[in-house]
Amino acid sequence: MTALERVIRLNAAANAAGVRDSVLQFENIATQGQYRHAYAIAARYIAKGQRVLDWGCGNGHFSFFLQSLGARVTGYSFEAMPRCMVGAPEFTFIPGNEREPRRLPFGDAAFEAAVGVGVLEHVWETGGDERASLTELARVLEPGGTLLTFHLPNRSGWIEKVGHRIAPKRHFHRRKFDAAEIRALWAESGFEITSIGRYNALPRAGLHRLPAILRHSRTFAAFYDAIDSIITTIAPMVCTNFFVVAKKRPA
Amino acid sequence: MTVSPQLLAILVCPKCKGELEYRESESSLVCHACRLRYEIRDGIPIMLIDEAKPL
Repeated sequence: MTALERVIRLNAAANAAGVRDSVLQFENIATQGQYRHAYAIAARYIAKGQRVLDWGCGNGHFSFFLQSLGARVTGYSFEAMPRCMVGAPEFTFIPGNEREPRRLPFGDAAFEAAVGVGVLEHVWETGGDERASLTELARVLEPGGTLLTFHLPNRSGWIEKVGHRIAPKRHFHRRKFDAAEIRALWAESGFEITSIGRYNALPRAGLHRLPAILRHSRTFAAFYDAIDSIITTIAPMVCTNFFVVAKKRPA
Repeated sequence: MTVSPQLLAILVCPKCKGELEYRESESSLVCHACRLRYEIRDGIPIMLIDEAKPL
């Protein structure tokens, strides 16, 4: 299955399940394309029937994807239960809050895998601590369990640098990472990194403003993804995001 | 509304990480060590120390 086909199928499934409208990430396939690498990587590491924690699941867009792989997903979020999980027994959901950001109410080795999409870079905003969060994630994973981290902001990414000059008042990530920092942080928190890389060289956030004929077009999405992939290959240092695949070190 | 057995199997007290007793009739999970009762609202266990009730 190509990356674009996976995006299109998931988008159609979200529409059929009646949850697409509540999920900004699924509004159009061109925007959703920013997750195509995350989908492909997760599909490689997450097996059917696995207990997976979606740490900071937000509106549940990635939980919905993980469930489509056959994973038994538990969502954890400071926000309300995602629409896709309401009345759906295949999901479980536990709310957290800003006052207890580092405590997960799950037992040691409760999960075979955990996923964090666009979460770790925000923990400082609610009084959290990245190392404490990662250590807590290691605790709830089985030894050898997988931690997948996506959408971690790359310090040398071009989009926010340029964007900040054009529109300084817009929201930008204040916390960004480089590879050496990621390696050190993960190692100190009990993980062995399996692979690390950068992705997403073109902007995706504003694509919902494009005319419907473009943003829902398969041809446009394929073209946009192709340009994105070329830039990613030539100049990975300017990409927006890091992915990190890691395993919990055996005790 | 009941809580799934799979979820009950992995939940612990967020304060002491100890075992919990599921009280279906009271819709709550109880930590005897911390003497706290975590409510289950609409089938969702509220595993937050500052929202737990003392026993």
